[in-house]
Order: sequence, then structure tokens, then C-alpha cells
Amino acid sequence: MRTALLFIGSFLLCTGIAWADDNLEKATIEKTFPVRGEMTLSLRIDGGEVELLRNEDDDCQVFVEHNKEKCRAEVNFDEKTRELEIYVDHDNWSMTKSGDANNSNYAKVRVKLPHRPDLSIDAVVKAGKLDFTLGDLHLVNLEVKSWAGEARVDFDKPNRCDLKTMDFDFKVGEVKLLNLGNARFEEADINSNIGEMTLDFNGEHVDRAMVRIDLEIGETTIIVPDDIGVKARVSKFLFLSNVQYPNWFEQDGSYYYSRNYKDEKKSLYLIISTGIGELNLRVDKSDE
Amino acid sequence: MYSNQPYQRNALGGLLQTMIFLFLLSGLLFAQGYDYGKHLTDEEKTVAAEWESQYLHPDQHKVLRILGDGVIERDDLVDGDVVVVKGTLILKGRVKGNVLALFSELELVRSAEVQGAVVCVDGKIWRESGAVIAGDIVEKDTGMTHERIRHSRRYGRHDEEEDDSDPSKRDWKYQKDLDEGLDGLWFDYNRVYGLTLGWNLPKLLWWEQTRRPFGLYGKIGYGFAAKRGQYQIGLQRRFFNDHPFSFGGDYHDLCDTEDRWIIGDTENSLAALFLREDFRDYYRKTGYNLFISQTILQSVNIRLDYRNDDIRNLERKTNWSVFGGKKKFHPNPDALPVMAEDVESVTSRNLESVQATVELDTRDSHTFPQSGWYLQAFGEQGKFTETDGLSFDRYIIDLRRYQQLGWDENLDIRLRAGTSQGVLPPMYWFDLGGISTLRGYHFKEFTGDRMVLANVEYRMNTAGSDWFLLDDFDLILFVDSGCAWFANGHDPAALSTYPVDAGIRSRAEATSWKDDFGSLTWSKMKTNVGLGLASRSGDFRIDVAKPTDHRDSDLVVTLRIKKPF
Repeated sequence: MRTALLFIGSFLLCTGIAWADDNLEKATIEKTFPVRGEMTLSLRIDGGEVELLRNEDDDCQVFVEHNKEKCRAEVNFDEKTRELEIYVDHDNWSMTKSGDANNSNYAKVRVKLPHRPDLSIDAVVKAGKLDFTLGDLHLVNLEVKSWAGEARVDFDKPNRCDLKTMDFDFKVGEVKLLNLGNARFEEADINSNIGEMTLDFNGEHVDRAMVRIDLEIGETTIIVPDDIGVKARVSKFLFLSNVQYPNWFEQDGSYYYSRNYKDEKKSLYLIISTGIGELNLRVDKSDE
Repeated sequence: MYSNQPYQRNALGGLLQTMIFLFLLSGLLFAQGYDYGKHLTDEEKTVAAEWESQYLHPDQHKVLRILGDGVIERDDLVDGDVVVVKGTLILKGRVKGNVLALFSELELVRSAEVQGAVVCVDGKIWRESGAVIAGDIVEKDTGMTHERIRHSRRYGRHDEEEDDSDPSKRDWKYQKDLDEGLDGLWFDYNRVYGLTLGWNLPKLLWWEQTRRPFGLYGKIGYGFAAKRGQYQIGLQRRFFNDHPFSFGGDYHDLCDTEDRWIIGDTENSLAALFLREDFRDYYRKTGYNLFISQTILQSVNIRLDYRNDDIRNLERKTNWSVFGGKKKFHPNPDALPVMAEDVESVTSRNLESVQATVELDTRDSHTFPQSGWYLQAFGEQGKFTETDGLSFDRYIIDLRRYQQLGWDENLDIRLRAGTSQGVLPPMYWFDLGGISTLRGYHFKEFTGDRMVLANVEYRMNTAGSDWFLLDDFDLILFVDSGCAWFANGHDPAALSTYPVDAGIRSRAEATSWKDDFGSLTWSKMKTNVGLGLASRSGDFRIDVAKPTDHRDSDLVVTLRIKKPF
């Protein structure tokens, strides 16, 4: 299914393909910005591999590799507003395709984020691969939109402050959002149109949080730890969706309650609107 | 010797007596007030009484009670306090008083607004950013454990502490759709125009909500099978906020039907598009309409219309649907009288008419009502201006009662009657049979210029039980009874052939709209009984019905996505 979905996504986005010349010249941009206080990262990427990760220093380091004849890339940092904008614009969609490791025409963007400033991330990636490792940062706002491709967002360590906005919108592709319990959010919106999705709410900082999850087509797996009381309201799309859940949950109409829901102070409320496909609720037992 | 004489008494009188008895019974039940009964233990009742005494003020506010899950929709305004017991209340609208959740959960979405306190006993408050709570927010854990009530309803079951016989005292109001369908895109599919695609102007409700005193309404589209456009453009001017008065008018060229009371636009379009079933008959009207409308009380509206239309027959133009096999759409009957052979045929006739409509509506929900009254009385005087002044009067009354019999039961009753005087054109004949009418009979099996119909539904909230199918569905038992006939045995063929025979016309015009109901007997009434299964949200339903007078007739199975009434 994953292959088929990726194929559909690629087909839609790559209509009118002209194969790119493998020998085009590549350029790199490498910049380092000292950041204090707060920072906004604005990503507008036509296509490419985008990697965000933590920098142990106070600087923000940006690396962009692109084909300068077929692709325009800009990295601008406004010191007044402390907004870092990274812009990659391809002449045509074929340039977003990945070749082999050496001759890839993919733009590659890697940003090492400083861990002290208050961070806001607003990322729009039309096609490509996202790999965000966002643990141990001062992340305040996070908005991610991807039109096609794989996405992996991992809060491998607890966020250092409350995350006021967490909004994901994925159109086509496989999505993994991991350790969301470390994000320290209270409200979140997650939309997925076509593709497999894994939502993992493990982590240390769920106090009381609610997540609106809107699914269209594809299989979705939601993993919750057993030390959080979980309530889920599932709105099904006719008879075309199916909910699988372990006996850790009990169903009451369109609501699903974990067995510890009443007793646990830490609570998670999932408001799920299903589309076509299967929804799997899973629990990670701490003693296993 | 066997005699059926006792059953020959006047059926309408008997029907009315039965209805009055049911209404009185429902009134008695209603007057009994709420009782948590078996739904709460003694210990829970003690806790409930303690919190209610602290946060409810029945002497100052009315109280909306919801047992199990419920939703207060975005356009709803609760003019009082709300109590939810053993469920989850999703609050999208406004509450003027306090919200008390007893052994329950509260979910307040962005649009929610509570002017008082929000109190949750043995439950959690889930609040989206943007939801407004003016008073205190309290969560209290008593340490008790509770069995949840396994309900799930689009609208909460509620009971009121005060009599709602006065419609101005309604506990909550809802904004009614003034037209069915989506804003913007106009989509319709039927057998006379085929697929119609076009554009709707915003509904009148939108202009009211945006506090404009005027409203521009209408639509424009193209029917691909008929190869003809449709349009309507109208303007309404509105005065006063508390008791609005409005006037306006529109100019149009539309495909119209008298069957909207049977099935709505969207459901019929889907049935036609996917199942090759079109449950309406159509005519084309081109002309204009002027109206004035006055809302007297919160729930009572009076409207007068003057209409001047050229009416045309429409023919079936398509037989396509996604599914349906070898089925065919049934032909669209003539709306106008058929021309006698020696009379030059005309393609349209001008109809001038005056219509009056009185509407009383105290229902708690427009789409899925569980309590309240609905009354619509309609009268029309019409005249075909170009055909020897052929004229008619027609009257329709539709009375409905939605009565909760307890937390888990509802009794819904509809009584509908129609009558006429003069020569009624075929498009206005009253049809019975099939969906929403006599569900055990064939579609529009009975026709006449007189009609009586009673529908009674007893709904049991079984969804959430552990019984096989009933885990997902509510159970409904229903009875339909009605009759449609031509007064004094008038021959429909003669009435629908122009020029109408002078003798028949004079007899028809001499027959009062009140006449001939005395001849209606129980033996003439067509009755069916049935069983329905409806989804919790009320938007999917299967009915199985069987006539009581056809021993060998098949069961009639109907699939619906809306309540029949």
C-alpha cells in the first residue's frame, strides 16, 4: 500500500516530467547565525531532503546543497525580526526527483537549531523527505505542511517549554510522528490525506492534551503509553473505516476509554475523524 | 353472521380521536418532569442534588437536561443552565447560564461560549483555545466509580423543568436552514433535468447572521439532460430583530416539485444518481413571486405569497444512474390538464395564486427533533388566467409532536391532511404511498384531491447495547395509516382533461373543501406496520414495512439517510 500511495503521489506531482541532466553543477550554501532570545524558521521548499536537528551550540547552522542551474535557493536571516527564511524553488518538478546518491538532483537542506532561543518553525515542503529531530529545544510553535513524500518528526527528548501550536498537514506519503508526548503540547491538529501514518504519543510531558486528527485514506496507527489516561472519540466515515483496539481500551459508542482513564491525572483526548482505511489503537506497556 | 359494520364508522373522526388521545397522553407524560430513576445510584443522587443546589437556579433559569452523550450545536443558544449526566457533552454553541456535568465529560470547542460557570463532577473538561468561559471552572473528583450510560445522539436527550406550551418560552433555539443543500455549489440530479450544476447565492440565514437588513438570494445552473438553464434571483428586506418582518420577491425559471415534504433535495439527488430512484414529480415554472412575512412569537411565523407563473409539463430526459441495472425512471406525469383532441395544444399555462402559510415550530432540533411541536397550515387560491378562469383552492395542514417518553424512548406523531375545492390541477393532487407516507405501499399508489395521513413512530434508544445489530442501531416501530381519494367520486381523467366537462366542473366547484370527509371509513384507510433500524446519528436508516390489508404482499424495504418526518 505504501508503495502504491507513494507512486500516486509522485505521479500527481511529476506530471509533465522532463528528465534532468545528471551532470548539472551543484552549489552549496553554508551559513551560521548567532541567535539570542527567539527565532522563527520559515522553510519554503519546492522539493528536497529537509533535515532539522538540534545544535549543541547557540548558533543556527544552515547547509543547503542544490543544483544552481535548475534550482534557486536563498537563505536569509533578518536580525531585527530574528526570522530565518530558507527558500528553494525548482524550475520544474522533475528536479525534485531523487537520483542515485552521487547524482541526485534533490536539494538538500540541513538546519541545526540552537537549543536556547524560543523557536517557531513554519515549514512548507511540496515534495521530498522530511526528517525532523526536535527534542531538547525551546520549541514554542510548530507548523508543518507537506504535499508529498515521507515525513518523520521525532521529539527524542522532552521539549524545554510548552508547545503552544502543533499543527501537521500531510497530503500524500508515509508519516511518522514519534514521541509526541515529549512535545509538551496542550492542543494539536494532525491532518493526513493519503498514506500510512504512525502517531506515537510516548513521552514524559503529557499533562492534559487534546489532539484533533483528521484522516482521509490510509492506515493509521496510534500508539499511547499506559501511564496516560486516554479518551478517543472516533467519527467514522460510513462503513469504510475500521477501528482495531486492544482490550486496554473499552468502547462506549463512538468513544474509547483506556482502562486507567479515570484514575490517571495525565490525560490525552484524541478526536479522530476517520476516512477510508484502518485505524489501529495500540498501547505501549511500560512493564514489557 | 359476520358483520364488519362496527368498523364502518367515520375513519377521520376515529383517527382524530386517537391522535387527540395520544397528544393528551404525551402531555401527561411531559408534565411528569424528569427523574434520574435507575440511571443514578442513591449515592450518586445525593451528590447530584448537592451540586445542583449549588449551581442550578431553576427559579431564575430554565434547565436543559441531557442524559448520556449530547451535542449543543454551533447555532444553538441555551437560555438557561445545562446539566449533563453520565455522558459527554460537546458544546459548540452558547449557554447563558451554568454548565454542570455530573459524572460526565465536557468538550468545549472553539465556538463555545458559557456565560456562567463550568463545573465537572467526576469527569474532565476538555477546552479548545478560543472557547469562552466567563465564570468559574471547577473539576471535582468524588472518588466514586460510575457506570457510563451507553447513549450516543447527535442531540442530547433533555427534559425541561417548565412547561413549553408557550413557544416563546423555548429553552433553546436553533437556526433553521432556509434552503437545503450546500452553500456555493448547486448540485442536483433528477430524471427531467439530469445533472444540474450551478451556483447558489448565500442562504438568507447568512445575511441575517451578518446583521444585514437585506438579503439577496437565488441560484443559477444548467441541466445537462434537459439542455436548459435554471435560475432564481430574489431580494428580501428585513425589519426588526425580535419579531422580524420582511418582504421581498424573486424572478425565476425553475424545475419545481410538490414533493419536498416526502424527500429532501440532497437525498433525492443521491437516490436518483446512484439507485435510479426519483421520488418526486416535477413541473417547470417561469415567473415571479412577491411575499411578506411576519414572525409573531419566537416560534410562530406567518407568510403571504403572490405568485404568477407560467407552468409547463416536463418529460423524463434521462435514464442514467451509476447503479440500477435494467430499471427505468418512471415517467414524469403531466402537471397540467391534458388537452382534449379537438383543442389546440398549448405548451404552458399562466397560474396566478395567493398563498398563506402559518408555521409554529417549537422543536428542539430541525434535523433530529426529540421534543416539541411543529405545525404548518397552508392555503392557496389559484386561477389559470387563460383557460376560462379554471380556479381552485387547496389547503394542507401538517401537525407533528415529538415526545420523549423517558430517557430511552420517543414517540413521534405526524398528522397531515389536504383538501381542495374546484378543479385542482394534476400537479397539486395529493399522493400517498411509499417513502415518508404509507411505507408499506407502492410509491404514490394512491392519488386524490383529498388526503389524510397519520404516522406514528415509537423509537427506542437501543444503540450501545450489546445485542448484535442493536449495538449500532436504534429500534423503531412505526404505523402509517392514510387515504387519498377524489371527492364525490370525481373521475380523475375527466378532471385532468381540458376543457373540463361543464357538468363535472360545476359539481367540483360546488363541492366545498370540507365536503366528503364524512364518507371516509376505516375500511378505506390504508394501513401498514413496520420496523426500522436507525444509526445513532439518525443519518442512516432501514425501514421494513408491511401493509395490514395485503396478506400476500411483500415486505417493503426502504433505505434512508434522513428521518421521514
